[in-house]
Amino acid sequence: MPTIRMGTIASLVRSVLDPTGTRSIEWDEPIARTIPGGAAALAAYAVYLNKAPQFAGYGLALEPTDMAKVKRPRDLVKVVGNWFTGAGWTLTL
Amino acid sequence: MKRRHLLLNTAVLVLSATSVANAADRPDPKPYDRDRDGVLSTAELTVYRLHIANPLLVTFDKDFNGRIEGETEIAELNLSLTRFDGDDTAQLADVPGDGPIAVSSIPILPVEAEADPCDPAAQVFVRRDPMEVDAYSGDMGQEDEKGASLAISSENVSGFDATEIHGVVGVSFGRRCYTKPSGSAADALYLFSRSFAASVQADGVRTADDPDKDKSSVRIGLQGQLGWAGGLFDTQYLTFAPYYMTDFRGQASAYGAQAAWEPYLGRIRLNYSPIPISKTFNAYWEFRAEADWLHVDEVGRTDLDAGKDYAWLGGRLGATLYPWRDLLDSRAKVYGSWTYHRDVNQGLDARLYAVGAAYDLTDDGALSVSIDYADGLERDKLIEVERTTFSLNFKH
Repeated sequence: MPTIRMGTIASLVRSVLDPTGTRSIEWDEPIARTIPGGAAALAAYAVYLNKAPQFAGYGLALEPTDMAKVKRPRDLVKVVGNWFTGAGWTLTL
Repeated sequence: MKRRHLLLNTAVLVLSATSVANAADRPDPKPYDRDRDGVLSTAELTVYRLHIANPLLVTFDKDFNGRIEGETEIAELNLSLTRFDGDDTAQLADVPGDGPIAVSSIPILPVEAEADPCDPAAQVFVRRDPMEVDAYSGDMGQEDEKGASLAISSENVSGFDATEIHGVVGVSFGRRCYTKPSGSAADALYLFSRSFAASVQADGVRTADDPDKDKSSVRIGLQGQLGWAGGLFDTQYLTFAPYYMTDFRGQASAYGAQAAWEPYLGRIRLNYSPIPISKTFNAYWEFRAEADWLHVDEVGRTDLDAGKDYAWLGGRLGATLYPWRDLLDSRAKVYGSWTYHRDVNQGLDARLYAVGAAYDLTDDGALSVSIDYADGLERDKLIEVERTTFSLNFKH
């Protein structure tokens, strides 16, 4: 069973949110301050994450509805972690 | 092809691979015999030597070509080499949930599945625009920064005291979600949500002393919305909304149906921003195509013509900028839009320009103040407007 660290997922999510490493990502601020545009924007962001080169090798396949409960950037890591678990990966810290 | 015996070659390797401390560190040579003829060819031996020299290859060169290449190998190497710093560790330690925090390398508990994200239970929403796609989401929250809100303000209109309302109150229901069909292509287009809503939209001015100065419309209607994911866009929504229209005094009588299409594509910042432009600024542009058919029986407090059918085709272009987001905590935004519709029955053109700025008073964005300027023809009432409005906005 493949293994992946939550820290790895966090780093990959962060690199999608901040490809240049120059922007601050506050994990606990409202997600709209990082991804404005409302709930529809978050739904679209699921597809954006799937297409991101950082996740292409993993075959990430989030559904737009997976983002319904995302309130903070930290929740994005949780959602992606959920997908890895569902895809048969073992999560470690 | 020149071949050497396996034992001979491994003996040579023991002598030549000085980076290997002892023979026990060597990988098993059997997997390197790709053609399974019992000996390592020159090519196979080269790969074996490379793997001995670089232990990373032993782990990640799964196809035994002496290189780490291909999405899977690179992804696995990437995750192996990726580290996150202490700050991130502290912030993310409880990501899996409320359970115990596992130590490094020990599997953590599976992340608990969220509650059904597609709860079909009815939800009340307050917005400014009934075609706002977020209004039909299963869990809207109040962090919607799209400027959809109910605005109630008082202003002087030609010397008369008046109340101006621009908002929609509704209830969404019957939401259903769909998953991507198994076996479909990665970028396949598929329906992921369906939802309904019933709403009342009020838009216009009601004067206190002179009804002749009123210019208003009230739309009571149903909305149905379909959402697709994949294809050319990240997501896209089609909304259909039949309605009955009157005015603030109940004198107008008309009916019609509105349709809208709104695509989302993060790569070009279409209707949302997936990445802040910089530490200081963020922005996205907006597009929505619209069609609106309206039959008028009684004109009431509008400038429509009785007995006529209006068939508007057009759309809305806009942009939203979040300035000094680091200083203002992304609470402030500046926005502008250009709305154009053409009535294909009468040949009328309706253009409306609008600019504004808003600031969220609360962390969740439920309460905000804004200043808006609009200039042009409002197609739903056929009224020329040029107004500046200071508003206290609420959204739910």
